[in-house]
Amino acid sequence: MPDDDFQAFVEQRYTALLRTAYLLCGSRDRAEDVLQNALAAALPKWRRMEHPEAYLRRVMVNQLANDWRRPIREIVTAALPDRARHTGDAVEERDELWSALRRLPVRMRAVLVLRYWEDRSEQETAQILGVTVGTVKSHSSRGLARLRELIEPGTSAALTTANGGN
Amino acid sequence: MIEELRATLDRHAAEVTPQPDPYPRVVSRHRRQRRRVTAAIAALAMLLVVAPGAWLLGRPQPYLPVAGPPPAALLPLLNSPTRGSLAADNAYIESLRQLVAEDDTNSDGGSRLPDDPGRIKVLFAGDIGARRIAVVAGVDGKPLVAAYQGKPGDDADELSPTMLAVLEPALGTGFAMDNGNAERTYLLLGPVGAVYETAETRYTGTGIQRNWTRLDAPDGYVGIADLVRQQRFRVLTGGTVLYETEGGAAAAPGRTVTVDPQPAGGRGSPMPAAATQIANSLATMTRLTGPDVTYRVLWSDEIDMPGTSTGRAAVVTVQAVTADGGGPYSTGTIDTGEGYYRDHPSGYGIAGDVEHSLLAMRLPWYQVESDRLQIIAPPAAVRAEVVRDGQTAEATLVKGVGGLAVPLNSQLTIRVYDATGALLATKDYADRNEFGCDRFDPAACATGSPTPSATATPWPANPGFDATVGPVGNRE
Repeated sequence: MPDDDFQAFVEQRYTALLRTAYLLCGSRDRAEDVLQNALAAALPKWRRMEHPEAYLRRVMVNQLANDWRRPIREIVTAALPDRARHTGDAVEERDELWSALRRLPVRMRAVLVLRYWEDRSEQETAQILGVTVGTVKSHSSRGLARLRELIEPGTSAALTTANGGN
Repeated sequence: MIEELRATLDRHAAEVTPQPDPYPRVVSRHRRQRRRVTAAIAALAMLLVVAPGAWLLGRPQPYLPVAGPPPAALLPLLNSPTRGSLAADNAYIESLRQLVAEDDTNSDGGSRLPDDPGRIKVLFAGDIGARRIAVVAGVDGKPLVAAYQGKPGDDADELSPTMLAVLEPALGTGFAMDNGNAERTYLLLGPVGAVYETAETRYTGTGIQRNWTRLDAPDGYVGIADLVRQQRFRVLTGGTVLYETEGGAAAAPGRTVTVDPQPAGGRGSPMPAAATQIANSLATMTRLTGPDVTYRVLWSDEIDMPGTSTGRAAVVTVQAVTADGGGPYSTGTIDTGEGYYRDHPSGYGIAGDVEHSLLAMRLPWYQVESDRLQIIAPPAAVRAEVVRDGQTAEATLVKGVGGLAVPLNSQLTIRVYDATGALLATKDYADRNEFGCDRFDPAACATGSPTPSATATPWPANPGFDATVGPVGNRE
């Protein structure tokens, strides 16, 4: 049931959503996969969907949280195989903060991405993830503290959220 | 730390570019998932209804291919000889057919290639560049086609599946980035005797140009070792186009382009973030990212928009300006609160330079479609005449921008005038609610012509008619 409005949405927003997906999971292949799954799930509901961007983010996070270890067997029907290039991996391994971020639990990482990369408010982040604002606050502060621990071993003081609080 | 985190996330996000053709892949995935659900429901129903006696039947039978002969349109391709450098290697071809018949992963959630090697047709087998490729199809009532890839020298059972789709009268398929091989191998294959052509899409201020040139296909197919840019292909037999497709990817899909957010001629207010986003999406759609292309805002503003979280939205029309001073444009609205994007088929098109181009469109909508017709005229225009069914209404324009209520599904003639009463531009406009096969130039497509409504709506006696609506976007 291809839908022109949906097609336009995919074409317009795909790159931005893919980047969010990538920051959530840290793998280009996986990012394409979770985004494609989320969009495929959204397609039949598209016409009655109130907040597609929030829906897609929640579906992606839930996939990553619940489905992390499922092996992916992908056979595509598009013109090009659904594979990605990994030229950046070597650089990524040397990026301390990025490596630390990839070690966080999925939902904690999602809070940091939504709060500090997408600049979502705590309320928006809570709505997207389907959690309470309190959970967002705790994930945010604990996530930042965990990052600091990982990149500065021995340091456990919680980081201020003054810059990102709202 | 937070700024460092943001910078890290920015840096890594910027490295991500999507694989080509995201929308077809989404639709394909949705269909596969739907078929899997259907198959699962059918399986469950079978368990509940016939399970008591099912054990008599022994091992569950696989889902069989659709019985019957292939559709006539596919016979020329299915009856053509196998192409490719391995076509004459009978042992290899036979092992391929055996492999495909035994490969139960060749299932698309319900459909699958036949499990009888005698019903497998090897359409292509051979090496193109640094890649070994095999393309096979089922010979049944609903033929599927599957592609495999590996490296030269691989046996049939060393090839990996890369594609499964419904067979068409010809096919174009790409292979990329496998086992360290970054070549974007591309295969275009039609029936024996087919003619293969290619064209590049060229946007100008007056339309889209595609000049088709014939490709050499001495062996009955076109194999491109590394398709480094996006190209349009078609396959013809007897002068009839069997198949047309866009192959390859732009050199840098999703590449960031810059746009001056100041609207040309002062038409509206700058909306920098929305302008950048829409300019980049336009660049992705048109692949116009070259040094000879610039992006400009034709009109932008913040307008009332029912259905958004704030009741407001930024609206921007951005144009990719090519060498002749014009080019494709697109219009989008972005919810000022949650950032949700919308567009409308009429918000796309081709226009020339700012001083002479007249644009008309319906605005995107979130909650309810508006009957407002938005006019973006040369900046010197102060008045628009809109003629519908012989009746004329007027709209005031400010710096060339304004609008009026016009019943949906209308066919119109629009004229705009400057302060001296001189005619500046004329445009015939017809509403369209669907995207044509080329959203920037629907007239170029056989099926994309706008269709006016057959139902006449009284106008300008329409209660919603307001011929004096000025530029939208003023909050007061």
